[in-house]
Amino acid sequence: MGSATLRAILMNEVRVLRSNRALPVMLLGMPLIIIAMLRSTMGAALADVGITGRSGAEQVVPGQALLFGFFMVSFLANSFFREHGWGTWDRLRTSRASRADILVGKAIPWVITSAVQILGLLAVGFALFDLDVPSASGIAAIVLTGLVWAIFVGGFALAVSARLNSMPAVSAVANLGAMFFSAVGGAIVPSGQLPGWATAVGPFTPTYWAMKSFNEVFLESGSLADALPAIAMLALFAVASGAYAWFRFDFDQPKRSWV
Amino acid sequence: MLAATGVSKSYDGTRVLDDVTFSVNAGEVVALLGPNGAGKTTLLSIIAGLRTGDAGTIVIGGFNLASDRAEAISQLAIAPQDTGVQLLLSARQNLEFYGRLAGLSRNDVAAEIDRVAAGLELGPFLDKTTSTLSGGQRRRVHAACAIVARPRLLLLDEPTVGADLEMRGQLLGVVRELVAQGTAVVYTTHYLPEVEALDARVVMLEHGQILINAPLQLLLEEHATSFVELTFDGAAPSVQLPGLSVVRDDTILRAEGPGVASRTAELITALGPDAQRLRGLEVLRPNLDTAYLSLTGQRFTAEVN
Repeated sequence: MGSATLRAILMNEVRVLRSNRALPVMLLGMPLIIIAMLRSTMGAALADVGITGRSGAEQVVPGQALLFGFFMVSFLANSFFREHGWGTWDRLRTSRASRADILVGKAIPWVITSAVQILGLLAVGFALFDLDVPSASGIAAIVLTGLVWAIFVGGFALAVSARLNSMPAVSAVANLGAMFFSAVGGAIVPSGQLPGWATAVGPFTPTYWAMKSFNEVFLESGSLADALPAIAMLALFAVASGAYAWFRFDFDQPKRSWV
Repeated sequence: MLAATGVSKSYDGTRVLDDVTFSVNAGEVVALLGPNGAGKTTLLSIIAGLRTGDAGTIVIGGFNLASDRAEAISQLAIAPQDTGVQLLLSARQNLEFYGRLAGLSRNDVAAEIDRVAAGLELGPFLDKTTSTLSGGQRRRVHAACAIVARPRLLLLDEPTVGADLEMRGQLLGVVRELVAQGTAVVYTTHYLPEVEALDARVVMLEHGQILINAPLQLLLEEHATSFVELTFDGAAPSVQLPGLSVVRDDTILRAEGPGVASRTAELITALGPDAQRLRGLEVLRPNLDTAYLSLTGQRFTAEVN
């Protein structure tokens, strides 16, 4: 992996990312509206499963951050598919950039954006939505969860890009994945309110483990040590996604951007 | 700089390239010619490492593409046939990216952008987002993205398709400048005057095989001659004139020989009543087109023969 070529790809991706004005609306604006509308409802939902005296921010802020953060999968995947649409993929392939330069250089800006999105929404939750600021150890757990989640999202986006051949297919998987993982993972409503089958499926989703880590901190006043098992499970999803992408991404495979 | 030896490629049992061997030296232009489907783009793709040949070797700057891919690829830049630019970025940002990707320093990239922008007159739209540019302007940026990388081997696949005369002249000027500085260029085109303007060595592909591989001047000296071509409504008549070779090709009558252009009136008189069916007359002066005609018996055309 060449540092100059990696930096060139990374900086170019940042330029493209900055030109995308829909991004902050999608990742920050929309979840903030839902958080504002559903906070008290989620307070009641928590009470319904036996967790009383909560504002609801403990459920709705991390839950919506995870739900909308998953849409980052489409944005990162599109950074590969649009190269095909623009006719620049072959030029990239005939450059000095290695396979690792291309995969990592394209993913890093989106992974950082994903981490900023989830941690930024939590920060807004502390400032505006009565989300209680946890202990230093709890904050460390939150930050680590956010970072591992962002890496998972990056790895999953690469895996989806490796597996699928068209952007509409990626979009479908990303949108369905966001809804399904968030629903059965307890990000939309508390896990205790889910039907039995969903509760059983939940642990097989990364969202479940991310929410479990957040719940340890926000609902159980737990420390980093308490959250670590859930974070480790989330990390497993990240590693599995990244490994799949690394071994399955075929740069020779033609891809369609939109049509 | 480039040595392609015994390159073959088949798709679904159809031989697209058949034992193609040619080389390009530093400071030389090779014009890769041939009708559509002759295998030009496939050959360029194999040289650029975008496809793998079924047989043969490609050596670029001393590095074997199969065994030293990274080193071999780092010697070249390609402007593929289809226009490719990053539409969300400006022309300058596109050029900066591909220059940096080629390993140039920030200062070198800036200098190269100035040079290429001057050569291809990109200045008026250099800082505009490429999605707002016309097709011709994008085509310029597309070619510039390959040139800005300052490669030792430059592959240009029909770079002037859709270009106006002005851009065509500018691009040829930039290519000549690069060649003078030692860059090896492989240039595919259907416009034979461009080959003459570049004084290129001609490698002609037909049905995946090399038909001609010779310096332009040699081709012109040995094979270029004048022709008079008459086109008829219906089958061309049979005509014989002393000192001229006259051949029929469907609706076309083609005459070749010493002083053929000055004997056009004599030729028409010899047609007799068939002159009524004459629909077109063209005098072809000695050039690459007529050299091709002498060698193959056919006019050079983009279409598959």
